[in-house]
Amino acid sequence: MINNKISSIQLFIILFICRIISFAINMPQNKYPIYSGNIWLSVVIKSILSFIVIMPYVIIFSKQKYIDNIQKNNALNFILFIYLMLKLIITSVQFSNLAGDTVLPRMSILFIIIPICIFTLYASIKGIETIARMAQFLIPFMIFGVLIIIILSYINADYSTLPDDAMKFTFKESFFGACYMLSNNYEAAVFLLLLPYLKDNKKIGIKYLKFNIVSCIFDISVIGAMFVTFGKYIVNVSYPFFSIARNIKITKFFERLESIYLALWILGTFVVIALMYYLLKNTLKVKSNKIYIFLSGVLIALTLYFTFSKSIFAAFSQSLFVFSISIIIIFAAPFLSMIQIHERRNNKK
Amino acid sequence: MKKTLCILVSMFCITMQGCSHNNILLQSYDIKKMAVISGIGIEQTQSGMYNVYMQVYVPKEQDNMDINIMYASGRSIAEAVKNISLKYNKQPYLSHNKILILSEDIAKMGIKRHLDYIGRDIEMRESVPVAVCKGNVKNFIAAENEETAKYSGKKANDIIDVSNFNSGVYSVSVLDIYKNFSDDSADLILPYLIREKNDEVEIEGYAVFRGEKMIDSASLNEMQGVFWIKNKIAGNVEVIGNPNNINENISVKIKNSHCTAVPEIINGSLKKVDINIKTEFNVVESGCIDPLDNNQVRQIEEKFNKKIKKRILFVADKYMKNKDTDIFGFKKFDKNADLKNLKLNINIRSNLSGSGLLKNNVE
Repeated sequence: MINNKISSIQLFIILFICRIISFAINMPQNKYPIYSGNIWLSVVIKSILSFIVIMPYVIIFSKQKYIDNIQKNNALNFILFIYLMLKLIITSVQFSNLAGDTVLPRMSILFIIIPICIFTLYASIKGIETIARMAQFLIPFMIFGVLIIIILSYINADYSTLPDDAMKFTFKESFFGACYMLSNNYEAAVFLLLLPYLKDNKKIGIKYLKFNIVSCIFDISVIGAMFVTFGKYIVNVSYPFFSIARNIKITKFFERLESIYLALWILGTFVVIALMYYLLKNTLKVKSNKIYIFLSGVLIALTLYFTFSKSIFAAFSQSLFVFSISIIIIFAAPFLSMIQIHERRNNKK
Repeated sequence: MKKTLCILVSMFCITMQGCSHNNILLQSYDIKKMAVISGIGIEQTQSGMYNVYMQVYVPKEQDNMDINIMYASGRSIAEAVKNISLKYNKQPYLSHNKILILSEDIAKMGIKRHLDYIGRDIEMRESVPVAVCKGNVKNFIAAENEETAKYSGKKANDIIDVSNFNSGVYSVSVLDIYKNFSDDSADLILPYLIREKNDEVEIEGYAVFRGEKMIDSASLNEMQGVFWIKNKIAGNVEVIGNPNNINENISVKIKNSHCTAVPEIINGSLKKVDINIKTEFNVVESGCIDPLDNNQVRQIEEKFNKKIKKRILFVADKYMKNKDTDIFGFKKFDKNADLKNLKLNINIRSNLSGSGLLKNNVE
């Protein structure tokens, strides 16, 4: 029996923070087809696909007992554990890389990574309710900050230099782009693992659909801001969203908005990493915090290793192994769960 | 847990204290050892060495600012910047830089690789305007003996900034240049600075580029034709002859302008471009006509249209046809377009919309 419960609003707030961090803040490090018109269609296809892959969980969740069956599935749990570990390492390394390259270039990476790991671990030990409340507290500031940067980038932009092929796209490339985007997204895993903690399970599918539409609009506005600010030059920029904030200059006094970006990024990443640690703890199913803390130590060591060897990290994060695990979790796991439950029901009959 | 937290917080307090470059964790700098840069000039010698000149703000009492010059050489721009800190015992802080001035030689050799450092360095800003100076940067920015020379960078930036309001000067930032090279949209034009005999900084015109290399310089007036196509002309003042009297002039101010270029592509190659311009302007100075007389308004509009057409055709002939420069950015329609034989059909619809606060001439 789970005592730590969250509301559906809190769930979607957490998912939205994950979206802000993975799509806007960390986007540069993911190789999206951003330089062509395919990106627009990719974002729409990705939203449709993410709704399709979430639906099995929603159907299973409507019958509460089956969700527990998924949670007890050891094979799925093991894959989820590997997936979360990989994503946790990748997110932490991206966080420290961004810090080292942009806002704190002269500061030691150790000084960034170790405190964030310690504080997120502490938050994760306190439980999902603590993380959800923190997310609920932070979301107005995050939305305000992101909107300020996006709107000002549209005001600041020079529309006469927009690339001509900004609206040209091909379906095949857009579809693969959408799959790639989805593989970088951890919404499906977060959604599956947080479903049992929901207080209210009414119309969760409709709520997810609404969330998906809002997120899709958000994604499109982020891409638009990048397009109008950089054009095709975006492929050369390491951190486009950071550079957007840097390049905003309205008259002579409203400029240098990196501080807003910094606030968004630190707070958002804190929630995401804490959530990852918490979900990892859940899939591990250990009651003692000692094993969990030991494992976290190993993860911190791996994070530090990848932070200091960027070329190995680049190869690792784009490796077939990481991609395959992501694809299994996002595409295969929901439908396999459905089949598994269907078979159990047949066996019972 | 509380004890651990207390120890951690205490450690933070000890290690995160202020500006000490001896600190193991935080390699920060004392404010007194930093030089806040207001302008940067870069030139390359014949031996391939880079000379980097920096104008540094020096705070004085009662909110006054003085500017000093620092310079050093290096095999690359980054090395020259490093050498500046070694030479002057100050760390250049580039975040407040207002202008980047490139020497004419660098512009003629190609600017792409010289801007790489600006894009990579975290302190540099891509929104900084770029200009080319006539001759050496040393003569332009770092004539230390002369008081006015110190302020050349700041003044150049001020001129570009102020001129942006009345469209006198077209400002190009580092980001604009990067975008231009990435898109292959049009050949560049950058403000072209000179130092007059009385040591005053002036913008003579524009440096015209083909690809990444400067090929020519043009006066401010000559380049007006380009800004009509680029939709950057609003606010500019144009002087046209009085339709009724050859010896009189009328000054008009362009309120807004919108240009669309429609290509005509035959068998995959660009043959003709229709340039359609819609513009609205006001009479701001009229010595001898009544700007509210309908016949006279039509005559002024016609005269104005002819002037714009002449300006555009001048640039097209001089730079597009004779020097094969894609100054209007028509190669976006066809990358292999034969610009020398490209036909231009210019249609202008202008509208005289007002005459300021006077409805009649003062008799």
